[in-house]
Amino acid sequence: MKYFCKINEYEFQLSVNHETDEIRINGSHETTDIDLVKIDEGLFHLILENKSFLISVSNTNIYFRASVGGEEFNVEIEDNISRLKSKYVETEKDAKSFGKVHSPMPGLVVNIYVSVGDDVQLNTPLLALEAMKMENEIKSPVSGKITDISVTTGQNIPSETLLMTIE
Amino acid sequence: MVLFSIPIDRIFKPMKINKILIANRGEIALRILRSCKEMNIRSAVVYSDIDRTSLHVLYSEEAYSIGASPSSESYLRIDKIMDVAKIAGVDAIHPGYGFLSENAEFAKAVADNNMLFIGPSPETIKILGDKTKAKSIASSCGVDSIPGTSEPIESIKSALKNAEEIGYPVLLKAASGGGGKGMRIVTDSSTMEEMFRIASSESEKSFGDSRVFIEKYISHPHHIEFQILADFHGNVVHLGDRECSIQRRYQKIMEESPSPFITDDVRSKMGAHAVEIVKAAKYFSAGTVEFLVNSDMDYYFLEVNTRLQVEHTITEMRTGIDLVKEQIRIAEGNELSFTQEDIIFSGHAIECRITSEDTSKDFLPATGKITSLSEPGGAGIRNDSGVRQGSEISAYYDPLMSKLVVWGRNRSESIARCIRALSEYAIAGLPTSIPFCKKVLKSKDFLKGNYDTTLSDFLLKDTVPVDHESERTAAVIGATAYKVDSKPKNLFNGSSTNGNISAWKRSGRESSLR
Repeated sequence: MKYFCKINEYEFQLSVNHETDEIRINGSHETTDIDLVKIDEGLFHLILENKSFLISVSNTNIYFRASVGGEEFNVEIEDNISRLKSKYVETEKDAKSFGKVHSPMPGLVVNIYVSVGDDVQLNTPLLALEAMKMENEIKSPVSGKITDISVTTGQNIPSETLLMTIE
Repeated sequence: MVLFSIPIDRIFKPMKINKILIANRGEIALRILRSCKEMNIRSAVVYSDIDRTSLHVLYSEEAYSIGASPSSESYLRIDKIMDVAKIAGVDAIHPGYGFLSENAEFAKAVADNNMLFIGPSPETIKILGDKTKAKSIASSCGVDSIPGTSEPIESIKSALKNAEEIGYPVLLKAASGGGGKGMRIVTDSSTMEEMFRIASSESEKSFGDSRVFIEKYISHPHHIEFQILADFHGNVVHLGDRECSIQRRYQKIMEESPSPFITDDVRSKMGAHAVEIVKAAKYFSAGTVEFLVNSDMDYYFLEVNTRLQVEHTITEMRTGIDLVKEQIRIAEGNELSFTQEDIIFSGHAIECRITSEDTSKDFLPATGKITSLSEPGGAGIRNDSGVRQGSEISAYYDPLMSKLVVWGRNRSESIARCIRALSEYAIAGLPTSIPFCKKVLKSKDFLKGNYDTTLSDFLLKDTVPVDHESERTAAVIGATAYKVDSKPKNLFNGSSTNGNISAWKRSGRESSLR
């Protein structure tokens, strides 16, 4: 299976043979000497050409976050099957999700700064969400007009709740 | 002024505390529990629904349920905590930090039930909690506060007049504000009108209160504080300073002691002033006097924190004094067993607050489960943690998971040790402040000891890619393995999730079953 990975501006391609455990980095014909062991859920140890790495990984909605010796990397991964799939649905999905604002975390809606019909710019503060004793401002991801507000002040919401629609 | 209720009985005859209720949670509950055990004092803890399996409950001698998870229904409920105190038969309550620790009403409820509050008197908490009164105490000791208005500004005209008196640059600050909202820096009179309007409307929008204060703007400020111990007998000592200038969202994230910024001369003046302020306030127990220091090393009084601080650990590392034990001894009515001259400061200490926050998204708090946890160890390391593998970090409480504290013979050893320890600290399942702390420790300004409260913002914007070729490759391989591994498992293979088998191989075997 082929995996396309992206860290910041760097792109990687991993070809993994799931039977033999061999992996090739960036289309190289040489197989890299690699020994990967899963220690725990989200914790891996890697010996790569005799260099040792302890890697902890967590999954955010957008990417995988891998921490190696306290250095953090955000990795986007796509395998060749999902890359193929996404090519077909991309345009449709983009049109649908445009302007739908979701909560990035669970919390309490403490303040809504805008009303339906308001024109907002990119990064206009939309509402304040309280989590862990702290207020977090949710900002507009796009410029446009607010057509719907799906939450009310005082409401406790889980992560990924639809907050507003902007067109 | 108000009469101070110094417990006269204990001045003449100290009483032994036999059992303490710890009215807190997380790492600080555990911290207090540990000192109680070492002093052979029995203890009880409280917990909310979601904390049933938290570390402070697992390690406790006795544990009492106090209700639902929101702190307003549990850790902030004076009535429930007092009920538990009576049932458990304790003779003292330690409030930790946060929650009810600076609540005068709680301290009074404890005293009214003939128990000891491990902290200052309710009257002292009240007076020092009132900014105007606290400032006048400091001023009576010859310490200035930041020049500014004591009343909100009514009009542009009076804003201009006040700014002229104080001297530009000035800061407009929301009366009921916090967290940087409704705050504007005004550098000269020409922009005052615009800034005043923005600050007022922002305050109105954010807090429903348009009133703003005006004060002198201190550019590149340092936040430096002194740890104090005071007994009922009038003995007061300071245990040195802490530099707390690494902050995010106006909240501390890393602290070091001693401050690399102030000279020893300024340090000893500030220490003497801190002692005087505490004496003037008739304070007892442990406390902290906070100062703001400008680039010319002029220092201004900020406030007195009437509780144990999160960062008390670095003071303990440098002095060898257990502050919780001292608080307990003081509450019992004992005299301090040492004088200022007896306190020996040794080496240098750093604390990193390990929080579940996403530093790449402006420190957005993150919730979730710690799927794997490896903690650092070795020489000079202290890790005060409130979590374990499997802990769920919820949105109910603050995101502090643990405090990594290191000690070194000097500042450079302690920085190197701290970087080493952070590299060992592996937490999977959640984003943490570890990468940010490491970035701070490696930054040029921090290494030179030449930094102030603006460093953190500067580092967040600083996205110069560092060359970590092999780490990058490792990260990609690890992340890919995780993706492969966390795919929905094949039904027939559900039970054989052997930890040692390669993720690639397992995935291969599973796909061959499909």
